[in-house]
Amino acid sequence: MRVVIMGSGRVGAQIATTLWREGHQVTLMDTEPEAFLLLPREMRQDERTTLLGDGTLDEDLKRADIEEADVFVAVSGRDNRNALAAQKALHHFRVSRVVCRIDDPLRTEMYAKLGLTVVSPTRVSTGLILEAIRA
Amino acid sequence: MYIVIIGGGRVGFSLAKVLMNAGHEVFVIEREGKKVQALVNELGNTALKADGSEPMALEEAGASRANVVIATTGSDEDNLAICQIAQYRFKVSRTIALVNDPENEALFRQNGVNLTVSSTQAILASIEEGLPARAPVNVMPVQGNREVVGVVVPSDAAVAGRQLGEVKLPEETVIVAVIDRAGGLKAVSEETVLEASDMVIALTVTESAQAVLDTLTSEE
Repeated sequence: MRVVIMGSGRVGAQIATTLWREGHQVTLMDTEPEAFLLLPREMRQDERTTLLGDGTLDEDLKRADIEEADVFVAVSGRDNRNALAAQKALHHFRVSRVVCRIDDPLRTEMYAKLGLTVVSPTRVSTGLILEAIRA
Repeated sequence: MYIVIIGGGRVGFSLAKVLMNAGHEVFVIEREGKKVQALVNELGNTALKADGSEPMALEEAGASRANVVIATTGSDEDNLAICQIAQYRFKVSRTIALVNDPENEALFRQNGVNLTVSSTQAILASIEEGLPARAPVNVMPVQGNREVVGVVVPSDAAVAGRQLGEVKLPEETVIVAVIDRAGGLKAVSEETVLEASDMVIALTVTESAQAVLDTLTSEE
């Protein structure tokens, strides 16, 4: 698979590393070069895996070869950026599978209705923590 | 109408002022404390310091009873989110977004934003109802003491029915565009005939803005 990931935080870096180790072609985007320090050294040495750029901009998405991508994942720390990038990937670049991180549980349903595959870390971790408390 | 504006920067602030003067109920959500203070000082208690893309903030501002929500922040991702939340969560029938990057316009329109604009002018035109017919719409300041103004030609104006070439405008004034009452763009030339309800957009110097208004609206 060709996967473009926006946001090299802990979540993005972890997803990128896992998919890269499985042999998928991964392009991880971030606007801050130091964000890529979360990646293992051998992955960073493979120049194709990281791209300094803004995933909400058409131009930078094109540099990441979004047009050839099978999957786009928006997992920066900002909901609105993720939502814009994901909708671009889905509607403008016609990427067949788009996954979007939305932290705010109040917005997840709305974005799901708009056609995005939404994952809410807040909802997931709150559920797990409550489960741990009640165990 | 009840109008909620998100972003109290240059665009949001002047929109709030014009709409309020036109008799609308206006509320502004702005993230920066300083700007909120400036709004409160000038317009009264009608601003909230909050992130306008937070559903809770919109709820606090009464978005569910708003007729129009206008997103005027400097970031497109926030403006899109605001309009989508207003449209889909609060069922606001009219959402307007400032688009900072023109490449985003189509995406916005296809996904829950009723109207996209790249200047204050178009927002004002879309809410023309209730605006005083003779107020010059202070569209935007331009470099070098100039500004772009919009004026609606009243039906009893002397210029109604005249060609542009016959209208004597102040010096350093250029007619940029003429928009007819249906929103269509007229080709601008000496022969363009001005009609009642046309919106004339002119570039002028600040001192002459009032004279432009007078010329286009006076009865003789």
